[in-house]
Amino acid sequence: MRPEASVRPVVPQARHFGDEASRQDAAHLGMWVFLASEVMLFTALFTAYALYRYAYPDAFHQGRAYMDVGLGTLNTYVLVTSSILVALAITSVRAGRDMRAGAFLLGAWVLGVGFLCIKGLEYAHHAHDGALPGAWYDFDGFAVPGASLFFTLYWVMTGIHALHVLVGLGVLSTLVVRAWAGRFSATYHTPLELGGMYWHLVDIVWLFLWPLLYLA
Amino acid sequence: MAGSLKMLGVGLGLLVLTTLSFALSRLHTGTLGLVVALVIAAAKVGLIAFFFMHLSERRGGPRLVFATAFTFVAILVGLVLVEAGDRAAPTMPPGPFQPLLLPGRATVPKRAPPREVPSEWFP
Repeated sequence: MRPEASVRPVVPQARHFGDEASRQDAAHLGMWVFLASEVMLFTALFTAYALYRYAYPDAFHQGRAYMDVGLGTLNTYVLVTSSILVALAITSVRAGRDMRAGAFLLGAWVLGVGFLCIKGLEYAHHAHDGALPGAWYDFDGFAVPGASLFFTLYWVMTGIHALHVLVGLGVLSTLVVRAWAGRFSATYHTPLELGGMYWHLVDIVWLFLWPLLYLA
Repeated sequence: MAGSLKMLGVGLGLLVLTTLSFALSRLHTGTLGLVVALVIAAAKVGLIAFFFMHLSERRGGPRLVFATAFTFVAILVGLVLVEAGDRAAPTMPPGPFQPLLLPGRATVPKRAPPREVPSEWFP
């Protein structure tokens, strides 16, 4: 009997997709390219900040006096801690403890919601002062050339970052549900790693926003 | 267990660097403070990228993308600042709106009066 006439074995994936390690490599590379495009988005904003800080050094340096450094610093600790929890979730799922991984992810999600609440509190303070972006700027306590630019960039940069936090919360909530549904295991947890990388990027962007807007 | 301990160690390092950045911001002022804060932020990004974002386990492509992204950031910000430093001050951009609209100043921007058309232009 010719070999071709025998029953063909069932192949779960076509050969050109390779093994699981190859698929993980491809997924990570694709995620890194996506994250690099996100970096370019924020780079445009950081470049605008650099140019206007160069043009109005005094106004941008004085700007921190009108920021709530306590709340900004608290938010930094909140985001860094949530990143640590996401990293612990991945080590847990690699050890086969998907329930514990879901709990860590839920903790990170709660901290992300806390970040947005604190940010909203800050926005309310600035809106009350009249430190609004663009032509709506009406803050008599800080009325020097360049002051309105500082607050315009503050609103745009932190606003776009907050949108990313919101998207990240959606990703984390999906991962919590999937982890507790037993969809991840020690051998398959690529979506958890990729979602975690997105959350870490959100953290990284804030790690630059915090010193530029609140500290220096 | 070892993986969790490593992640906790990296996380502790991040929290310590955050505290260091905050403490130093109380001491330094001006450009030096800005540079110190950005260097600490870059160190934290290195820790997050290599340990939390798995770059330590992934050689090749991901590391290349990471390095390229940050090189492009440096090129864009650096070239814009170099160009701005070479300009005369009056050519610097005033911003997306009229500086005359700042609080405490006139709410209506000053405009040049319409030009009188000389009557000899019309026979």
